[in-house]
Amino acid sequence: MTQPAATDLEITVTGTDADGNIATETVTVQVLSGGTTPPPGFPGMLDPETAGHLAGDSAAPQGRSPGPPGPAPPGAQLMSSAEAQPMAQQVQIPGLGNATGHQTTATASQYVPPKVTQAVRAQTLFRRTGGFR
Amino acid sequence: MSTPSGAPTLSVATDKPSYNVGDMLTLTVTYADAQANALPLHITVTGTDSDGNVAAVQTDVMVTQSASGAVDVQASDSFGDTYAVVSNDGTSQAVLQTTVQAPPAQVISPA
Repeated sequence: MTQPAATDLEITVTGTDADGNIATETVTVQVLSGGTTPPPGFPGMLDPETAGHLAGDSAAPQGRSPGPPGPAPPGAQLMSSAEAQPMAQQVQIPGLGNATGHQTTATASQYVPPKVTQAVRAQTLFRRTGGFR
Repeated sequence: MSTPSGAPTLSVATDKPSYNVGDMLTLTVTYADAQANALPLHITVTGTDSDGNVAAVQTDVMVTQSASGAVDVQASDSFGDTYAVVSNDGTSQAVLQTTVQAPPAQVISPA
């Protein structure tokens, strides 16, 4: 799991005294815009950064409203605010923690039910074989 | 920071150096108005381990030579967060808080 991207947050503080004299001070902190680290997911779950490179966006899961925009993945071409907004929505799914919007939905779409399907198929084949015998 | 003569003096500290989106951010602002004749006091702390390795860190505080009146304090930031003034003692210190929002999308010109 890669670390979430850090963005500088520049805070400007203005102080005005009783005589109207003004002073300003600036301080900068870092913001990890990826949010909290999600717990381990299901098999086949993509790394959020990898999922961020997938083409196309998916809608937020039904019943969940998209949150504020997250950061663009490294190497991605930055776009205007109007274009970038739909690509960078943040969705929170209980149990998965925060993740960047289209990354989360892309992750969900990558879930492939693993070996259970294969086991059922194997059992079916066995029964058919037994029937022929 | 250099403050013009006749202006208040501000010193700002955040409660943490790094935040996640959605975290509460608390700003503590120490101030003095122009009449307080505030001067910065530079403090250097040095630590030496058993191998003789030395590390040093510096911090600044304000020393006022007379009482300060109230200074109205406001804050803004590059994410567009809204700060609430939690307290202002009217003499030297104000506390402001905000909830860190996601950074705004950056705008670039098309390639």
